[in-house]
This record gives sequence, structure tokens and C-alpha cells, in this order.
Amino acid sequence: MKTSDYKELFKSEADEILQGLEEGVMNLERGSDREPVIEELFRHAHNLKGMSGAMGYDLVVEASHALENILDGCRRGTLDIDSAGTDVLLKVVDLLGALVRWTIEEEAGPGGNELLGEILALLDPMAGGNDGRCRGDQAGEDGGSAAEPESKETPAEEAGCAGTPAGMNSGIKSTKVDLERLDKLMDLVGELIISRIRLGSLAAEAGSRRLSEELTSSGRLISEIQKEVMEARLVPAGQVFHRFKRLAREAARELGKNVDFRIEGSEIGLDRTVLESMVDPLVHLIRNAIDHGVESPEERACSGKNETASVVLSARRERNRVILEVSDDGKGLDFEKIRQNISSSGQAVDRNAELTEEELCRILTAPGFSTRENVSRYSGRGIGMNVVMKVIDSLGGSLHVKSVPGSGTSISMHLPINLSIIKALLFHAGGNIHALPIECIKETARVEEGSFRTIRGRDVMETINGPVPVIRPGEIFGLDQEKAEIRFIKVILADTGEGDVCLVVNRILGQQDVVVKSLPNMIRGISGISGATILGSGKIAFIWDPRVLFHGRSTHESDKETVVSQN
Amino acid sequence: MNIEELTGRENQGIQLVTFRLGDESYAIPVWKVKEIIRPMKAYPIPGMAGPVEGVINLRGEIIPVLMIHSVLGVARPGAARNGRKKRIIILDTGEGGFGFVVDEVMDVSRVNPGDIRQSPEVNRDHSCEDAILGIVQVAGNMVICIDPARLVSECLSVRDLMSSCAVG
Repeated sequence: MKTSDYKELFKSEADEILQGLEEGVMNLERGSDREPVIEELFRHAHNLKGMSGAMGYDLVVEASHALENILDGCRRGTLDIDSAGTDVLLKVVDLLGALVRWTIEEEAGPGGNELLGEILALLDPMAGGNDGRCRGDQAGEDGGSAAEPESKETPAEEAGCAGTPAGMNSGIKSTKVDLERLDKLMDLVGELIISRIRLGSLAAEAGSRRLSEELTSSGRLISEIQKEVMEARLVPAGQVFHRFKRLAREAARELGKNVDFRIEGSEIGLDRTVLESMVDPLVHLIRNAIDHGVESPEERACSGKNETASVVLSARRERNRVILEVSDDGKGLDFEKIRQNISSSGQAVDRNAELTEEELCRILTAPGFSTRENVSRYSGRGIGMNVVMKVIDSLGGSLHVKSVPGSGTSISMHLPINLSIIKALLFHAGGNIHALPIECIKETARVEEGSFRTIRGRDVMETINGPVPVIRPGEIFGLDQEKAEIRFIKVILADTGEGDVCLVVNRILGQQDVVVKSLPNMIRGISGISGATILGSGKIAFIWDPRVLFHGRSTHESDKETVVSQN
Repeated sequence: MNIEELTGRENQGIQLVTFRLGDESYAIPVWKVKEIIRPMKAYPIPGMAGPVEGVINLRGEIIPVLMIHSVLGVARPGAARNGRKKRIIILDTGEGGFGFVVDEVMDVSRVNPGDIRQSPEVNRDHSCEDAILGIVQVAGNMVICIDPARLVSECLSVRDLMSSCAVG
């Protein structure tokens, strides 16, 4: 291993510790059972000291040592941490994080010594007159006594931390793998699948049964590998969720609300890309819940609710989707206000009709929508939900809103677990094969040519849910229209997320797992195409993005009024 | 115009791949060429007009293929013409590879960088003059030397133009 590798490891371990510290301090504040929490905090601080000692990061050693001293005081009961104390500790953890980053990257900005100075300045008063400043290993009174018991408690950890910063002591059950390496593995598995499919068609051509049988079993193995690699590539939601605790705490404090923010399902795995892109949307939703959803303690008391509101961020898995949900037990959405807002913004909605979940969703995510009169630091600009929707769209997910007046709102986002292999419906259009993600397919059908109706010069198809515009690939992509002389034509009824469309195709080939390849740089960013895939035959099929593709062509756009008025 | 940059590393001359587009002869530096393949099926990209003919599947890699005839303002040979000598030249531009169709690959020859002369101002209705490095004599023939990287950017600007037209 090179030094830089150790550095990498140190960084990731230190990040974990800092995260643990932050969580611990907040648990302390929440009034969880103090002893184990403090014990854990102490252990984190101590580990950080050990690790940085091994790396020779003296400033971090000194800072974590000072923190360790304070925590040791608490552990022994000579010191107590009140709510003001937790604030200070959180600040210290932040500074410690900055110090660690500074040390690793030797970056510009405030120097390490200044950071250390700030940390010590914060911690010193807490030590209650004792001189908590203990340099290096020449520990003062506190430090000296602290070092002893803990080395008895965790001898293995001590050795592990001091000797090899990576925690490489024997008996370790997991290892850290570079994400790039996992991505590479994933790519290779994709290639393997393609090559396996190709072999399959060759075997079929050759008519060899033994070969086909052998390929079937190798196919099974490949799917196993694919599954394992995919699982390994998933990142637990908790890795991102943890940072929201702090956010929720601060938002609640600033807005004068009592909020118990809970996280559920942090162990659920998500694709890294999906998880990373969900950070901003989640920030927005959590702030929204605390700002708009949750009432002030007084209001809550008046309506007979617990003064402390609960906001829950949860992750759960349903088949091949992950559902992230932010729910609160606040006042629910103000439907009256929403209606007013819509009519003032000129959107046509029947004022007396109940809003369906879908309509609500569409309204909430329209650009510029807000029920807030005043713009606060946290929310009210009406841009947020629109951005949330865009992110979810780009990931191929969907948004669902449920709200009960008086008892709360929950917003859930259904997201794909991974983005590299998707189920798609393959079809022939314009002489080539194309693919549509299976999630957007409602049904496929064979209809008679004459069965379309024309509304204002546009073909529509009657469905149970009303007329749906007919789209011919030729209109969108200029694909050759194969003028069919046959009586029946094939259609795909697809949900574009904004309304249904009826796509006329030449032939439907069936559903298949496809490995999504992003388009080469040169041709990336064509609207309507989200990627391409190589089929077993070696043919290339483009994967259509139904949302962008049919944008402006679905029922609820300009066609809607026409359609409705004709009904 | 930076012939030096393109040739710099080889004092003893540069190697050019010469090829035919319609009736004209062109050349590109050999070290930019990744491989030359026989024509294979290009899958047209839905919604994309312009010089991009489509993408090909080159051993599992998706590679765009350009029809540079239009970019360079050369007439595309009619179907009647013998297409058996057609090839796709795959270039590695650093930004991911791409290929372009030529009507025939002729030769690889070594020329002296000094022999590449400025191309005369030809009044063509094309903005591709930038992609042309100069003109050189190879075996008694006039060959137009082009810069692949510039060619790509030309193509892309044409593409942007095309797609904005298509959308708008």
C-alpha cells in the first residue's frame, strides 16, 4: 500500500467517526440514555486520536485528545453537558472535520493551527477550569487517567488503530472496495451478459442441445454474479440520511418548532448515483415538512396534539424500487389555499372538485407554486418542488403525495434501485428496434386502424380513462413511417408521467433486461433518448425517455381542454 | 492552423492515411487513427439529423459514425457506384472515439511536414475550412490534409444547428 492509500483509508474512517460523533451528540441532546452514548462518543474521539497518531497528524491528535478529555470527564461524572454544551460539541465536531480535511488535503483557507485554536478555545471552558489542554501524549491529569481504562476495554481496537490505520486486524469481516472498481465490475458483468446472449443465439443456430443446456447453467451463474455485484454496489441510505439529522435540528430550532426527527431504514441499499442525486430533493422536502407541515408548539397544543411534532425520513424497498419518504404529523396541505393559488395563477382546475393525488402532485410540482406568502430562508420560493420533480424524473422515478388535513403530509419518491440494468419493452419502429422502460408501459394492444377518433385534427384513442393522443414515431423522430396496409396496428399505451400517450409501432418484440449504456459524448444530450443498449443479436436499440419524448404531447397539455369539452 | 502541433513529434516526416471521398483525396495523420473497419450497420439516432449517420456496435462499444461528405462539402457517391471499397475509419479523439465513412482507403504515406501547403481559399458554402490543415502532394496527387479534432467540432456545430432547427 502506498501512503496515499493509507490517506484514503484514514479519510474514510475519519469521516465515519465524525459522523458517529455528530450523531452521538444529537442523541445526547435528545435525552437518550446518557451513559452508553457518552461511552461511544468517548470511543470515537479516542479512535480518531489513535488513527491520526499513526498517520502523524499531530494537530488532529491534539484536538481529538482535548475532546476525549471532556468526554472522559462526562463519563466519570465530573463534567456535565447541558443543551448549550451540545451546541458547543457540535461546533467542535464541525471544526474537527474541517481540521481533518485540512490535514489530508493541506488545502488553503484557515490554517490547521487556527482550527485547532478554535477547537481548544471552545473546549477549554467546558473542562471547568481544569486545564484540558494536553499536548500529544504528555497528557494532563484528565488525559493520563483517561488513557488507562480504555486501553483495557478495547485492546484490539487500540492495536488496530495505532498499528494499521485501516483497521486491518484479523477477524475483520468486511473490506472497503473502491467504488470505481465496483463500477468496472458492473460494466464487465454487463458485457458478460451480452456475450452470453450472443452465445445463446449461436447455439440455437447450431442446434446443439448440449451447448444450449450448458449455456443455460452459465446464464444462471452470470445472473448470480450480476445480482451480487449490484448488491455490493448499493450504498446504504444511512450514509446520506445521517446528515439530515443536523439539518432538521437546525431548521426546527430556527423556526421555533419542536420536532422529533427520526430516520428509518438507513440500512436499505440504493444505487450511488440515485442516492447522491436525492440529497438536494430530500433537503428540500425535510425543510418543507418542518416549515410548512409542522405547526408551532402552541398551535399543536391547541389542536390537542403532542407539542413535539414528528418528522420521519424513511427508506424501504419494494421489489425493484426503493421508496424514500418524508412524512410529518403536521397540519396537512391547505387544499383551499392550493385551489386559490391555482386559480390565481391561471391554471384551469375545477374549484369544487376534490383534488386527486395525481392532480395534487402535478400542481405542487408546477414551477412557481407556493402556498407561502412570505419567503423564509427555508422555503416559500416555490421553486423547490419543481426541482425535486425534475431530479426524480431524470432518475426515472415517480413522486406521490398524500395529505390529510389536520394529521399530516407524506411525500414519497419511488426510485429505481439501480440504473445500469433495466427492464424494457422492445419494439420495432422505423425499421429499427427501440426500447421503452417497462415502468412506463401501461398496456400493449392491437387495434383496428379505423378505431382512432380525430379531435381538432389530432388522432386520439379511446381508453377507459378517456381519450389519449396517438403518437406516431415519425412525428417525433422523423422515423420512416411504414405505411401498413394491414387492418390491425400495434399500439403501446405509455404513461409519460404527465399523462398517457398511445404510441403506434410496427411490431412489439417483448420485454427484456437490458444493460444501459450511456451515449457517446459526441451525441449525448439528445432529448428523448436516455441511452442505448446492445441486444443479444449485436443490434443497437435506443432507449427512449418517455417523459421528455412525449413532453407537450400528452393529454393534460393543450389537448386537455379540447378532450374534456368534447366529452 | 497548426501543422507543427500535429507533426511535432516526428522530425523525419509524418505518416498520413490517404482516403477518397467522392472524387477527392483526403488524408489524416496516422497516429490519430485507431482502426479501419469494413462498413457495418449504423443505427440511425432517432431525432438526430445532420452528419451523424448513426452508431455502430464495435465489439460492444457504441461509436458514432459521421458522414463527413456533407461536412466537407463533397457529393455523396450515388448508390450505383461501387461501394465495396467503402471503409469506416475509427479515430480516437480523447473525447471518445468516433468513425467516419470514406469511399476508399488508399494508402499510408510519409510526407515532410514542410510540404504541407496552405490550402487556397476555395469559396465553398461550408464552414469546414477550419478543419482543413493544408494540401500536400502524395504520389503525384493533390491530397487535402484534415484535422480530425476540428472536424469533430465542425460536425458538432452542424449537429447543434440541425437539432435546433429540428426542435424549433
